[in-house]
Amino acid sequence: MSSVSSPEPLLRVRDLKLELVTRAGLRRILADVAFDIGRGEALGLVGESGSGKSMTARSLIRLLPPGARLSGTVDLDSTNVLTLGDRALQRLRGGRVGMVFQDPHAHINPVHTIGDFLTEGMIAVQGLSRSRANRRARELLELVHIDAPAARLRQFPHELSGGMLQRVMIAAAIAGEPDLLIADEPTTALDVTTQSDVMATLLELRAEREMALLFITHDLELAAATCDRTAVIYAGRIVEERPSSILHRDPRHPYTIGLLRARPQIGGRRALAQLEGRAADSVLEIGCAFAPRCTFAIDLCRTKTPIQTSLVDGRVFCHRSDEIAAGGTGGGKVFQDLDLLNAPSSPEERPVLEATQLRKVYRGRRQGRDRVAVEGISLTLDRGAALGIVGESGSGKTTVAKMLVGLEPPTEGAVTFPGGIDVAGRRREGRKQRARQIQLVFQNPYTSLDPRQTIGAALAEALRIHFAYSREERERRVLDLLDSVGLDPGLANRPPRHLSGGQRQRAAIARALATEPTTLVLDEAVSALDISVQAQVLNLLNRLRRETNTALIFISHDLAAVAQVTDYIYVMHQGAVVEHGPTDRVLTNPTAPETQALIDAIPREGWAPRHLFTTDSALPSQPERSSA
Amino acid sequence: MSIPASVPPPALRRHWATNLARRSIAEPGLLLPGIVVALIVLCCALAPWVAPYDPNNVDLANVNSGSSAAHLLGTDAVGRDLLSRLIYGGRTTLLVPLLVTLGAGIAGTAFALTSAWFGGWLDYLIARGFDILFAFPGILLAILATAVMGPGLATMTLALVIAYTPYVGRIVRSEAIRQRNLPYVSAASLQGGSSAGIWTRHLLPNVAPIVNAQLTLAYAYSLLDAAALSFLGLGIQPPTPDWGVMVSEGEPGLTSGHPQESLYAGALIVIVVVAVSIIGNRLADRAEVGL
Repeated sequence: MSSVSSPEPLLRVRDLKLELVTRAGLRRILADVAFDIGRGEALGLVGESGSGKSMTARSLIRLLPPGARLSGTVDLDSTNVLTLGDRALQRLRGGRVGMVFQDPHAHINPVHTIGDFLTEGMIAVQGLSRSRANRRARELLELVHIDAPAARLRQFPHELSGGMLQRVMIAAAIAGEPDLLIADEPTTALDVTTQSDVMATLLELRAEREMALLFITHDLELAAATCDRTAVIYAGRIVEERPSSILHRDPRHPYTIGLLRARPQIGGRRALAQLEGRAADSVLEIGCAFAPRCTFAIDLCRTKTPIQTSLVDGRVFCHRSDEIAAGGTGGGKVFQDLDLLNAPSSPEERPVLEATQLRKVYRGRRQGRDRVAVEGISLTLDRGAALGIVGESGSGKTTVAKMLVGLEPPTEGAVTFPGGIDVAGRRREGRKQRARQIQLVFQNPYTSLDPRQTIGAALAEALRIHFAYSREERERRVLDLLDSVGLDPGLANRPPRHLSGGQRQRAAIARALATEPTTLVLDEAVSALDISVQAQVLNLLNRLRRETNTALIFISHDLAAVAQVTDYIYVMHQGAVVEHGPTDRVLTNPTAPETQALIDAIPREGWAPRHLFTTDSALPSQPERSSA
Repeated sequence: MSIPASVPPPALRRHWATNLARRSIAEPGLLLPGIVVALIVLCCALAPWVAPYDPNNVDLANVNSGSSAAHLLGTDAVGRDLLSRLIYGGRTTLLVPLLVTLGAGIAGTAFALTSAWFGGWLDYLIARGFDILFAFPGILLAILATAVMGPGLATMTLALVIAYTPYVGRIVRSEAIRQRNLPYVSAASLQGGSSAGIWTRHLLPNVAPIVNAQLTLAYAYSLLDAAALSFLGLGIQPPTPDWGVMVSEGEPGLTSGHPQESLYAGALIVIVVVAVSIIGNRLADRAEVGL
């Protein structure tokens, strides 16, 4: 292989192969994985769900599920990790190699304090005394920029916000002065501003300690902006590895191209590349695993596994990478430009929804403990308009969504629809009328569809409530709905678990459309999705709006995604609107510092993560409320 | 789409019996106890055709005989054929826990869903009610009921239904609360669905695996309780054959060299209880996995 980091890399991985023996049979997770990480170097490993990126990370320290069969070589300096005994392996895990995981809540025991969590290893493994371990824990928390570390040590995990907890995880990972830090999607569960903050901490530590970093993420932009080199993995094989800036400018593998073009940019609305279909989740023995989704694919791709093409600055595994480099793409089109230009529809000046001075106060258990979640929001939505609500977690945007659709009654203010439909009531008639006006698409498509109901039955149920269709008409309408969100009619007979995340979210949108509402509210509806799947949904929303003139309220913490579908934006912070205006104006010329912070937090070329010093300082920090 | 979606999904269109058979083969842990229970139930259901003698046919010339060609398992203290009595006795022994399970299942699930759906003070009331009932052993409740209503199958069944309702209800309530707070329930409500529709179409199917598992376990335990009550003379009354009654009637034999009656009846109780418990535990595991 064409190793870039010579002469002697810190980590040298060759021929890594991982198989998992499960009850369903043998699953091939990784094949021919090879890469180097030099001392102090950062390598980004990018892939979608199921690509094998986490398994690669876990293979390096042999933290694998039972039934795993691992072969190849993993040399850390000159130690082959794969042949280490249990004791040596354990020393390695807490010592030379540190690891940070995606979900800090799942990795810190909730009944122990932060102090216990940090000092446990120091006392047990390094043999420090309790007081020295405590002092060391305080130092570590300072290193990761946690204020009042002494007090934090006595707090429990649930008292800290997600971003802060993730920094505690980082502190624990660097406790053993590791040479290599493996960070497995450390920011995926966080919103963009917190992500920026955690990344800044991570990169600072790396620079200070000359620590090598293996950074695993599904966000190519984020990896490219923060790592020296980036490797893209698909179906258990690395498909391209290049210096980050070059990969970003001149991608050679169709999958890399797709990932880059699938991500909405802050610079304005554009057609997003749509990687159709479901990502393969196991190694394909013969042929290129990406071929079924690739518009460049030729017969050769299906019969022969691409071998490595060495480039001056990296390597790529694609039969057609030369042609792609030369600009000749055979089929002409790079990707299916489904909605070539997401031409904005023409909103009519006919309000479909009006909210006046919405205020929501959650009553505390004791007097004076009330919490104001939303403070005086008014908005008017015209038919076919698209409005965005952006803000960090806890800014009150989900509460606004709930009040708009009627899941939460506002404490003050009212939501009105034309024709004077009363949404405040919980009575059945009111709910039925409201259902025809407004529908909600939830964040998590895994829990917003009934697991025991087929997709077709879910759609038919909504139709049965509102329309007196005959059986045939209803079935035809179900197929129409599936078609309108780009789902195969055959999926009607399937339960949600047979669908991929993107398919589920599209099914959830189809269900919301079943009542033919004038307004669709999407509450973080693309946040939990892979970038390519997110692109499918964003493109779909633009098309739906154009074709059906449905008004959209798109709620997200990601300004880039919001910009992709909306004309007008409300920026929320701590329950209040801090800025609102046409999307283009807000993005190019923001007036509120909170808006600027959200814009700055979006990873892009030449971007550097920054600390936020605004919201994080109050001591008893509120954990982020789940927005689902 | 990459999925060949036009092909009908393989797992959905099969006959229920085929599914059952496939599942049993895939799960050997379910197969053996399943066969044992099925055989015993079949025997008892077909008692008039299977049993060699009338279970109440007294033959004083042939008491406490051991196994013989005429009486495969021997006879009891008044010369009744033990095999026949066991086969007939299974009918009440197996029927009472079935009624108890059905009754407790319906009542427990209804209370649990009501509790989860309405929440607030109603939930508080039901949950505390469960706790209070749970504190009473079923046997004690049955003794009280017998004191008031007199012994018999109906009294025993009613008492056990009351005792087992919280057993089912508590578990189902916590699952129903979890399900009720999942977005799919909100989604159904936002679409204007009626509460009854949400209950029957969404909540019930999603708590069903837990209910099933819990009922299977309740069956095993209530069989044991019913047998104990009959043993104490508070349930099925002699001469009606019943395994619990038989354990009790065979008691004098235990000390005088004729342990067969108590032994056989006791062994059958143990076998059925163990087999059903295994099935119940398996179902509970699977319900948790979410299959």
